[in-house]
Amino acid sequence: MTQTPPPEPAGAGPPDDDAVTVRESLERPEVFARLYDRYAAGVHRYAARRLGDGPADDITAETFLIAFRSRGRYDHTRAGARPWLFGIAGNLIGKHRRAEVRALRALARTGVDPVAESWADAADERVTAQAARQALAGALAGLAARDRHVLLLVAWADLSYQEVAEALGVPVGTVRSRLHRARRRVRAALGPDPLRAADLREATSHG
Amino acid sequence: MDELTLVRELRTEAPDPTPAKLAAGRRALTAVTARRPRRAVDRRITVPAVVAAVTAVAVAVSLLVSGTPRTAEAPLRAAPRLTPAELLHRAAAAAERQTVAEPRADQWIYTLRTERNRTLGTATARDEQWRAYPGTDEIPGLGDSYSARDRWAFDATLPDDPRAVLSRVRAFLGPDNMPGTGDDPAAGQTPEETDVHSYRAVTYLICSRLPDPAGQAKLLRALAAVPGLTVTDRPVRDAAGRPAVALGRDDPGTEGGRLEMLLDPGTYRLLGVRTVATEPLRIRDGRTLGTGAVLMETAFLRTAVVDADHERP
Repeated sequence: MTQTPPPEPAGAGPPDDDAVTVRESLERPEVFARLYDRYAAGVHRYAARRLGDGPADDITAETFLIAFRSRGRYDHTRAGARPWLFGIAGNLIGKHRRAEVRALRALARTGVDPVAESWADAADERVTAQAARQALAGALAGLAARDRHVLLLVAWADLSYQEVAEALGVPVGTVRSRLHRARRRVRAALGPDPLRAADLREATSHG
Repeated sequence: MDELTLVRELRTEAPDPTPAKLAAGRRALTAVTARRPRRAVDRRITVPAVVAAVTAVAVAVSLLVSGTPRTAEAPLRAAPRLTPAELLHRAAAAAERQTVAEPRADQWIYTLRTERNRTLGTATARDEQWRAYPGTDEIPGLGDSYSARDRWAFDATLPDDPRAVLSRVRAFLGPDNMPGTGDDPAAGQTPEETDVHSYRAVTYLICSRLPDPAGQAKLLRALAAVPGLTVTDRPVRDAAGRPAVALGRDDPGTEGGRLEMLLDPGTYRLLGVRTVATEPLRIRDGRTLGTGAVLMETAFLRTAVVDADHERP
């Protein structure tokens, strides 16, 4: 099950307020912290999920510092700041690409996930890997970085295609094609699923 | 079960961070926000990422005064109709004619611009900035993390061939105007993505650096090699009221409007940039800006090298 987003702090308004918050922060910089209170937990969890608990602290902090520094360029037609922030976080995560791929390959090979280890408190909380998960990790490791970014923004950050397009500064069509490519490769790595009619047809057609 | 669901379930046990974990990041943020001086300009106007990224450092082509804002508006004369390539080649020739010596490391770049953001309101703001020649932003990760000096050095590497220039530019600056990877990503892009990347990155560099004249000319000529450029039929005015010719490129996949570069119809000097709505856009007070409306615009009024921070030329 995907986790529901953490409850918003009391007093936080609808996402429309984000553009107002950014504009107010031009005159009163301290107001920018409202965005931290609203989105830092989500950014941290996303970064931790991609790279582990340790790097997530720095990436979260840096994301908001960068966002603050570039707040003068925030597009006020964007009512919600979440895509903007996840775009910045994604760039920072992208700088750790080798570490990310290494951890995914380790999971694929050994069944032990170094990233999940980083937040597991006790041995009995450790999630035992299944074969499908290992194959999945291998597939993710093999994706082009830009395709992996799109896939995980959709699957882990719950961004819509339009929001991913905003976050990455690319056309929606590009988002679609990268996601399509990523899903196809993941599907191929997982092998035919007996429950998928199309796969079953293909599997049986070869005798 | 489909593959997207499987991906969603991977590492789904990742915990939400505790408040303690987030506290350090919040302290780091408040330390910076507390340090930041309030803006001196009233009604500070902001511009969207595309236009603002172009003007972030806001050093324009011309070191000489580009023209003072008009008070009485004379009627716009229709300029001779040029193709985009002709326009850019004339702009390149004008850029090359300038004599600019490289600033010293202890000098500062002064810029004065006028900005207007219609998605917020119609007031125009005057923006003055000083930036040390070797100075970069203290936060890495933005296109600004190239200093003016870095960009001057980048000019020195530019070859003559326009397509090679575009390739170097794409390696230097990513599609999002952040520093590039050092490699041209074109191989992994569709042709349209590459053209969009080229257009934005070259426009950004043309509009946001202290130009080495030869380098600036090469960039302008390289821009002419990007397909799909258009010049507006009728003359327009920039944010400072000066008559201008608008060069742009339609980018159907992207929201946010059409990015246009404004040039002086007589001297072909760079005057500014703007974003124009390509479809009706509802703005914050409930009004709608129609197709063709100017969403944001910046006029470059003055760029100069000065010897000290906050010294005016």
